[in-house]
Amino acid sequence: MDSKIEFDHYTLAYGRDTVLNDITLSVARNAVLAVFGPAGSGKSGFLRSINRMAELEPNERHSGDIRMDGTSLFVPGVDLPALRRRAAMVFAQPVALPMSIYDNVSYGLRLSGKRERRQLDEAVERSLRAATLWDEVKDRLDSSGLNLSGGQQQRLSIARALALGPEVLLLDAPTAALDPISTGKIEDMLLDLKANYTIVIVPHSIQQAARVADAAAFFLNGSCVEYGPGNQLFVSPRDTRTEQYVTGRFG
Amino acid sequence: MTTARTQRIAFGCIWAAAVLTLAVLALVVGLIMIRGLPSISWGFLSGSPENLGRDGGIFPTIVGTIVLGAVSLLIATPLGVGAAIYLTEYTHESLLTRAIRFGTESLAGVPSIIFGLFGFIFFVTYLQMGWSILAGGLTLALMVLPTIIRTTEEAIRTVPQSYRNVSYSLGATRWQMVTTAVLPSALPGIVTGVILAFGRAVSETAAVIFTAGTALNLPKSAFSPVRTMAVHFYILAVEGISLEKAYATGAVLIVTVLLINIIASSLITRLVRRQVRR
Repeated sequence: MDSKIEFDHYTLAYGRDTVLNDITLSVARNAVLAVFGPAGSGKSGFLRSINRMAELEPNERHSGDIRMDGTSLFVPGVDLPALRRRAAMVFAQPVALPMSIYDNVSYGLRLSGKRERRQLDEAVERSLRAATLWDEVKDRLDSSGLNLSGGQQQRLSIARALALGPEVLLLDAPTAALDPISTGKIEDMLLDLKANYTIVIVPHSIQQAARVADAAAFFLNGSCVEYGPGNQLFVSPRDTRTEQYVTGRFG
Repeated sequence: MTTARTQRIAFGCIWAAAVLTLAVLALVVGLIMIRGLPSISWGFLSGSPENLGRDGGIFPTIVGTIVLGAVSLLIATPLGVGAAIYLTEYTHESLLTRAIRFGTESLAGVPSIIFGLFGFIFFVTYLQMGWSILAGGLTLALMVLPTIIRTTEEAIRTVPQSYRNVSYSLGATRWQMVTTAVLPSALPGIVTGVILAFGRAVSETAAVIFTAGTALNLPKSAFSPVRTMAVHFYILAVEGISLEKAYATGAVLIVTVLLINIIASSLITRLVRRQVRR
């Protein structure tokens, strides 16, 4: 299987707290990897390592390597903004920046220096359509993003990430703050997006993981306990801890 | 005592405190206005003082006030906002940031006359600026710097952390993150701080007399001495030149500060409305 991202004995710590412990794992191209586990198991740290956002934490240390398309993320002189445009992230809490819907979606492109109106217009419409928000906002692109509902703001966040033209989408519990209907819309959207993107998602429930994932990894206390393709982890987990977690006996 | 009764008494006390505060403010402003307004005329606003201010107008002191306030803010705002951005966005808490913060807090506690003496010794004498707009503006800038740093820091701290994360995650450099995600949200708070600083600067007397002088003519350059309205008021009253003109000057000063407050706050509301509604 062709892999997009490879973790190679990667260890991450914030100060004295070990967040990830010796992770070796690969993410297949154009597939959805679900990373799940109890709170504090290192899922977010895993996600934030891929776009090197983890380094914003005070006293961050890491060892080992992460490669994207075969190239290490940690070679000297890596262009961090460019990396974050390649691996775009969406957070658990929907965040509309205090600017218009149009400016929100085109924000990342404008940061990278793109100013040409036609190019921005095109990217805004394409991203909003992909995030299934276009029909709801096309007549009020100039109104503030803060006026959207929570579910809309989260789809706005996804559109904002898609506008960058990324290769990888990092979704940190993107439906955690949403109602079931908005969640359903976003899950359907993920299945469509998979054709063009490699997606790493921290699902907000095991059911969600089972619905959207092509592969899954179970994390516990910073270690990857089990990693497997398809529904194997949910149907026939090999590790007893995975089985206990999946069947709801702890966590 | 029943809880309902405690509640009533507490409410009464708080209500009294609020009303009393308002009453004091109204009393002070009212007194100056009642005494000052009758002597205000177009000639008073646009004319030059004669006989040391016993007759004529106060136009040069209005110019002096606005110019001195503007110069001090032009110096203090970039410095203060820059320092606040450094303290909040560019460093983690460390010995250095604690030292800077302790320094600014101490600066805020220094009496203005000390700033005046420092300004006189350093800017006026040592740097040979003489009594001038520049020396006065620099001195006042130092004096209001803590206000601007403090309010800007507070404003920046209220910007949600999520804005920073989103900005970084979309490929912003630190500077882009600060200018596009943090500063626009913090702007109303920063403007409020700058207005506060302006109020302090234009109402200052001691530090200004020592550094900008008390000249009664219109300033010609940054090296001209000026007299501000507050200083004019002080000299007219203390030297017994004309109490009537002193109150009139005070009234104009109050109205000036009020006008600037109104203009700035309507500016803020418009800014915020553009962010939120549009």
